[in-house]
Amino acid sequence: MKFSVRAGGREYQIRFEEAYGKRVLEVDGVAHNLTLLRVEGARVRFTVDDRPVEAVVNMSDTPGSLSVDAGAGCVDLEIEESRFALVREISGLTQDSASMASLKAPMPGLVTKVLVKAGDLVSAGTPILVMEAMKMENELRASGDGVVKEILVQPEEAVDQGRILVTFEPPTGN
Amino acid sequence: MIKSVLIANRGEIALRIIRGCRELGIETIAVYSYADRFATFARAADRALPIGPSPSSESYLCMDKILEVASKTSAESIHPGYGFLAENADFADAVVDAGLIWIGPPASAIRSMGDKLEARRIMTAAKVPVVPGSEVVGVDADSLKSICESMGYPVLIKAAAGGGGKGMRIVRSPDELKANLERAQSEARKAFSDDRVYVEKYIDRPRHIEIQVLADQHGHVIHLGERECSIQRRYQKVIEESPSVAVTDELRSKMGESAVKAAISCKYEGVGTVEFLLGEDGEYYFLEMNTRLQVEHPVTEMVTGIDLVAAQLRVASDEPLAFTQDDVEMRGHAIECRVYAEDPENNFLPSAGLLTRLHEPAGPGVRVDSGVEEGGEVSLYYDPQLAKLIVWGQDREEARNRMVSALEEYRISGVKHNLRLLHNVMTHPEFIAGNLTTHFLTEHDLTKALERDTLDAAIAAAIYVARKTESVRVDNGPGAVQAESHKWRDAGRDHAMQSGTRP
Repeated sequence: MKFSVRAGGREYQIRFEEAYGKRVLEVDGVAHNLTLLRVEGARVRFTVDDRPVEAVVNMSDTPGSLSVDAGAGCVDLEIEESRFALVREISGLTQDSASMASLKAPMPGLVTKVLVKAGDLVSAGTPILVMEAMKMENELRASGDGVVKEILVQPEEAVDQGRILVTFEPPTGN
Repeated sequence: MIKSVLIANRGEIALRIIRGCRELGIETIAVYSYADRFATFARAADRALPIGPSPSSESYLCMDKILEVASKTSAESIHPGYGFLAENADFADAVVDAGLIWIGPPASAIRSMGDKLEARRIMTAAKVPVVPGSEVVGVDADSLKSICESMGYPVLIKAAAGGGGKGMRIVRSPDELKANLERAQSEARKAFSDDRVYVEKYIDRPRHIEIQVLADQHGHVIHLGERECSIQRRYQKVIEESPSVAVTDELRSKMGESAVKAAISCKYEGVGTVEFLLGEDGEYYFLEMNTRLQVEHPVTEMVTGIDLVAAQLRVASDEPLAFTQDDVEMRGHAIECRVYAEDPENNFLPSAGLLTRLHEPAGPGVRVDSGVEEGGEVSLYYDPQLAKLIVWGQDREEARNRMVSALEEYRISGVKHNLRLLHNVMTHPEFIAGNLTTHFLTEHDLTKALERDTLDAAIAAAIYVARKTESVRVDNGPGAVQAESHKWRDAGRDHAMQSGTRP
């Protein structure tokens, strides 16, 4: 299978094949020696060119969007099988990855302030609202570009984790 | 020596105190909230009693409940740790009134250091340098101008009723003064219905340097050198080290003397910390005094070899200090990183969840003060600190390299965490050079992943996704025993296939 993986501001083309007892790992056309030691649930252990790696793959609600713990940190990435990317390209369904549909509560807490109103144009990093959780005020920011469609909460409202707080429309003029 | 201690706290600090008590043969009594019923600290104590529901307002902050458990268990003393009730003078009074020993400074010292204006007054009287400034008055532009001239620019205009940055303005030259004063007053009026402002000298790009003090009940007060805690986010410390590259032996004894004076002037007992801002010009100013054991106390323990929890317990047991200022020797260099469950890429938003993977580093000179374990839950009820990673080296560079290597060994899955941010700080040229200010985390971009980690993550994701759709063989290696065909097992498998159960 061939994948295109977007991570850390760049795109990797990864080919991973297994057929008739032979294994191929290619990253951007360069072959690597892979020993797969264990795949157990979300935990993947392998060596790449004899370098040991342990990674934990965390799924998200969005298909193709994964966060992988590797080394000292967590890497958020988008993975897509290359043939799907090809289909998408041919059919002209280019998806703007920088646009977003909604802002969800990342944790249970209390909404203290709403900083936008319907119709506001926002971009990645724009403060949207303030939530209080763990006795701290946390500013929730836009993850991409959009126009505020609807605000579904009010200040002083307690919300559960995952609750949709604000919905967005794609920015016009694309 | 005290015979038993009730620990009115949770997490890593509760565990730290339990360890300190155990070494001295003191019985430990833990109290735990509902959310902490499986917590490591609650299992480590000699006795552990429930104290109420998960929110700290209904458990760790409930003085009555804690005193009730203390009475029920006949505890002899109470150690408050840090946070929660540690700097609550009323609680300190209540503990003493209940006939128990309070492992901390006298309530009067907590009270006077807790009031910023009172603390400033006491320090000024004790000749401890404070940030120069005008007293709280309704200043007009002309009198302000002469005050600023005498202090020197830049200055900071602050609202008397202030807080949260409102009514606060930095003024860098005389011609900016009038406009900024008007804006500060109007902001203050809007925010607090009170437009009184005052000015103090603005310390540009300061370092946060604090001095550890230790006092017994017999009038001996000494200091244990400094910690530099300049690397902060949202006014919370993230990385601490001792000694500071900015503190010479001469400055250390000067600041140490100031800190000892500060402790004497509020009749301090036990361990405490005097915080200073250190300007680029080498001048230092009293910021505040923390009347408790600090989160970052391990760095001082590592360089002085003095166990601060044991020192607290001995002082509370009325023992005189077993050493003098001259006996205190700072050896080598220690660095501490606070490991938080939070997302540095998303405004340090706290993160909760199940710790599906946890591997803490170890090795020579590596210490982990941790309050969590694999399979444990990180709840949203409390501070998101998971652990403190402390290393010691013969010099700063050895300590730094050791920290880099320890951070690379660390594995945390299940919650967002700041390990990469810490790693990026440790390897940043400005950190290596020792150029630290309290603005470090906002001035530098420290969220970028190592290219190697990104590549590994991409490969792991590809393997993981491929395995969902194709059969992927795992390599057993040459040492693995290859399973041979076996009639009994084959029969079992056939049976399982037909009945739908696992053999």
